[in-house]
Amino acid sequence: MSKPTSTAPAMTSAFTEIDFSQLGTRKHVLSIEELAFFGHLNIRGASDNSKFMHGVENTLGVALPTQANTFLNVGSNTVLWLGPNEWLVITPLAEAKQLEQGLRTALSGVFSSVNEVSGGNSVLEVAGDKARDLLLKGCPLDLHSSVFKTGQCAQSVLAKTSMTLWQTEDAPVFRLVVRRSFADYLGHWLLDAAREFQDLT
Amino acid sequence: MLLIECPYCGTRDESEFTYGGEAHIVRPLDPDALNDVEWADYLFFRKNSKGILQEQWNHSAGCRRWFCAERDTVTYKFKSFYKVGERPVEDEA
Ligand SMILES: [Zn+2]
Repeated sequence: MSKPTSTAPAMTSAFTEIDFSQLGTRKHVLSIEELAFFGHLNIRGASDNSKFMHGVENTLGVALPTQANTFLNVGSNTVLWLGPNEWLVITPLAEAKQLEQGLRTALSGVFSSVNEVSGGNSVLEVAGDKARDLLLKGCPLDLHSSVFKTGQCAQSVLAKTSMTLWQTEDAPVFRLVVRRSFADYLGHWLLDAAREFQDLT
Repeated sequence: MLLIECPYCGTRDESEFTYGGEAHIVRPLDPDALNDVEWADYLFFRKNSKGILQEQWNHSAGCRRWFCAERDTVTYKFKSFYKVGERPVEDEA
């Protein structure tokens, strides 16, 4: 057995066994890509507590979105509404620790919580003309372009696993926070579900 | 498949929700003062209404918040949705 080391193990891809490149090169039809190595911070607090809202705003540089099912981008961060008192901040992994400390300092003495949950999650980007059709095979959300639009997010399920979905471009481009522990299952499910779109041009 | 309206997220598919039984059951303030019949009534006995039932739901695959709904147990049709701590608006009938 190897000696335990004092340093934390480096984060690896959640989809090590999955080769999304086998979907081919027609990315306008469908592409799936893992955007590994993001930091994920879960923030909870009351939106009617001005100390909480100001503390977060001063640290993030933007007010938390209070409109349901919306997200916003600020700098290299994405801030997603998860519930009436819960948000998820996705940030470059190298900046996560510092951001977490900044939030904790800003919120000291304020009834709230800041938790780094990076290790349990990964992010997928699903894009192309068939992205909606693919996701709809395993997701009960109404993803029609007249209902689910750029700037919106939702927590739901994909192939029975919990996920958080948001749309970044009209093209459409979707991003999903998925559970790392389900990555292998979900990856195989996605590749299988995408097979019918591979020969389309 | 039922469409359920989470008071926080809006209308979503039934598969995102978990049922939580009858709503507005208040825990006795002084459980020690209850006899066995009263305690059993609090723990186990429910209305089992034929018709409108006020019940709890959890948006378990979404925002994970509890809320309440009025649903007809015969037709499964929902009559209203409201937050915990609120009461349904009575019909002017
Ligand atoms: Zn909800």
